[in-house]
Amino acid sequence: MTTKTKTSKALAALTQAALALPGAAMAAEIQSDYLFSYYKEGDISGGNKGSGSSDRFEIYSHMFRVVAPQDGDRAIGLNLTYETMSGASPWYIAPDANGKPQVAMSGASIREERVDVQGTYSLPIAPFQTAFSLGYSTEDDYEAINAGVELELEDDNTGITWTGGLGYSDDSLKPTQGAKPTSITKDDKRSITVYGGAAFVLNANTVVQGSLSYQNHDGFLSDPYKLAYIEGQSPVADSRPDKRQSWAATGKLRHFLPQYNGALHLDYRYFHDDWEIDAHTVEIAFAKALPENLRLTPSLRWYSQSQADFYAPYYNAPRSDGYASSDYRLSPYGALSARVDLTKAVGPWAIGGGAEYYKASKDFALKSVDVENPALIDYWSVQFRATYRFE
Amino acid sequence: MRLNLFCGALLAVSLLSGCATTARQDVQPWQRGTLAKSEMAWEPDPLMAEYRRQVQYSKEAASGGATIGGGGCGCN
Amino acid sequence: MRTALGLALALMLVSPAGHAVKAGEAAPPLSAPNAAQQPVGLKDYRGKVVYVDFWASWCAPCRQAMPQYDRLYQKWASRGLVVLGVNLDTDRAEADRALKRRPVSFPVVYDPAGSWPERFDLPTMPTGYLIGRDGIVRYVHEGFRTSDVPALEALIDKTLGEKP
Repeated sequence: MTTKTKTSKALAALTQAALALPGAAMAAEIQSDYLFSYYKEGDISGGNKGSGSSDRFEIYSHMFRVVAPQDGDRAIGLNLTYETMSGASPWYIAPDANGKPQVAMSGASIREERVDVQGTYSLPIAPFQTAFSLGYSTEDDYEAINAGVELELEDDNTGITWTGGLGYSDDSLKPTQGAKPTSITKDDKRSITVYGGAAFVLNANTVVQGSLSYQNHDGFLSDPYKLAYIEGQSPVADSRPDKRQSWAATGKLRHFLPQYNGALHLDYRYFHDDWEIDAHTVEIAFAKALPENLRLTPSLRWYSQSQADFYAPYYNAPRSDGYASSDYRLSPYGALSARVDLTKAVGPWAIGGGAEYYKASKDFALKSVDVENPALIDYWSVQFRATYRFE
Repeated sequence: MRLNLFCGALLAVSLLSGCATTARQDVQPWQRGTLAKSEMAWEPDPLMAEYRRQVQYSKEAASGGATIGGGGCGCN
Repeated sequence: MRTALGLALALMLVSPAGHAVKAGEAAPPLSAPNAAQQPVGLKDYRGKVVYVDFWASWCAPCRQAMPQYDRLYQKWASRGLVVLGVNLDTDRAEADRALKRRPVSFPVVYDPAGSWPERFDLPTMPTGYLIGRDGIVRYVHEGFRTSDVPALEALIDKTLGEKP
C-alpha cells in the first residue's frame, strides 16, 4: 500500500478555463496529455535509523488524460494512471539508550503496481454545467471505487462562478501477508467529500477563488503495516480511531503583472480535523511568459501541521483509549518545497518538464516541536510533460 | 474549534454571496483577454497539479479543497 | 450554500441588463479601421445584410465560429451577405497570429480599445448581430455552438430574402 488517491478533479479538468473565466467557455478541440514522473525519497539519515534497509520509496508514474468536447457544451474525459513503486518504509519507532527515537524500517524492499482509471462526463443541466465521474483504482493489496458529481454556475452579471461537488469513495484493503505479520487480513473504509466555492473576477487582471470542503472517513483508518512501540511491551499494531472528519478552507489569487508579463499565483489552505490536526499550506508561484512560446514557472510551497492528539513517537505507557500511532504523517512538522517548470508551445504541441525538491523538518513547523519524528521525508521528483491539441 | 470553523465558513459564504448581490461585474466580456491567458488559470497544468496533489495527499495529514475524491489510505 | 446559490441566481435574473442592442433596434453606426488602416463601417454596406461578429483570439468559441461564418459568407456573398469581423484583442499581434492560423475571407476591422462592444453592450463573447438591409437588427446571437449553425443559417437565408 503506497501512494493512492482518486482526486478525480472532474469538472476542473474539463472546464479549466471556464472556472476562471465566465463567458469564455471551454476549449473546442480534443486535447490529450501525458505526464511521466520519477519520485525518489532520500534515505533516513544514519543518526535516526535503527534497523532495516535505508532505501525509501521510489515511484515511476505515467499519467494519461484525454478530454473530448462534444456538441452542446458536453465533454467526455478519461484519465489513466500507472505507477510502479519500490522501496522500504518505516515500520516502527523505538527509543535508543538515550531516549532518542530511532526508525526501524521494514526489511525487504517491496515492489508493486497501481492502476487507476477515471471517467468523466460533463454536460449542461440548466442552469449548471454538471460533471459526473466514476473511477476505479487497484493494486496488490488495495482496491477503491469512487463516484462524484460537480456543479458549476456562471453568473455573467456579477462575474462570479459558483462551484460545488460531492464525492464518495469505497476502499478495501487486503494487506500482503509477508514476512512481517499485519494487524488485519481484510478491511475497508468509506469517504465522503463535499465542497463549495466561488471564483470572482476582481478586475481585468485579477481573479480570486474561495472554497470550503468537508470530508468524512469511516472504517479502517490505521496503517496495517505499521507498529507502535510501548515501553515494556512488544510493539503493538498501529491503531487509530475508525472515524475522521476534516474541514478545509482555501483561498486562491491569480494576478497578472503586465510589467513582468507574468501571473502571480497565491494559494492558501487551512485544514482542521477531529484528530486535532491543524495545518496551513501556502504556495506562491510566478508563471512568466518568455519569448519563443516558453513559459517558466518557479514556485515555493510551505506546509505545517500540528500532531494528532493520540500520536507519539513512542509511548511510555499504553493510552487509555487504546490508540497508538507513530506515523510521521500524524506528527508535528513543517515542510518546504521548491519547484520549477518550463513549458514550450510548438503548434498544437506543448512540451515541458519540471523538478521539485521537498524537505520535511521540525524546524519548518509553525509552532516549535519538541521531538521530531525520525521518519520525516525529503524527496526529489522530476517530470516530463506533453500535450497535444487536435484541430 | 469546530464551532469556530463553521462560523467562519458561514461568514465567508455570506460575504461572498453579499459580493454577488451588490457587485455588478465591471470587467466586461470583451475585456477578459488577460484573464484568458494560460498563465492565469487556477491550474495551468491540470495533470501536473493532480500528480502533486496525489503526492502531497499521501505524505501529509491535510487534504481537501475545491476537489472531490480523496479516499485512499496514504500508507507506507 | 444552497441559499447563496439561489440568491445569486435570483439576483442574476433581476439585475439590470444595461442598454444592450436588441433585435428590432437600429444598429449603431459601427466603423473601425481594417488591416490597411482604412475605416470600414456599416454605412459601406448599406442595402446589404450584414452579420457583425465580435471576436478575440483568446476566446475559444470565437475561434470555433469563424470558419462557419466564413463558409456562410462565401456561400451567400453574391446574394448580398457581408460578414464583418470586429476583433477585440488589445494586442494586435495576437489577432494577426489567429488569422494567420485560420484565415478568413470576410472583412475584419480592429477595435482594440473596445469602444464598439461598449456601444453595443455586448452580453458575451462572441456575440453576433444580424442586421437587415434596412439597418435594423434582426437577431442577436450570443455565444457560439456548432449546433447553432442550422438555425442561424435559416435566419440569414430568410433575411436575405426580405424585400428592401
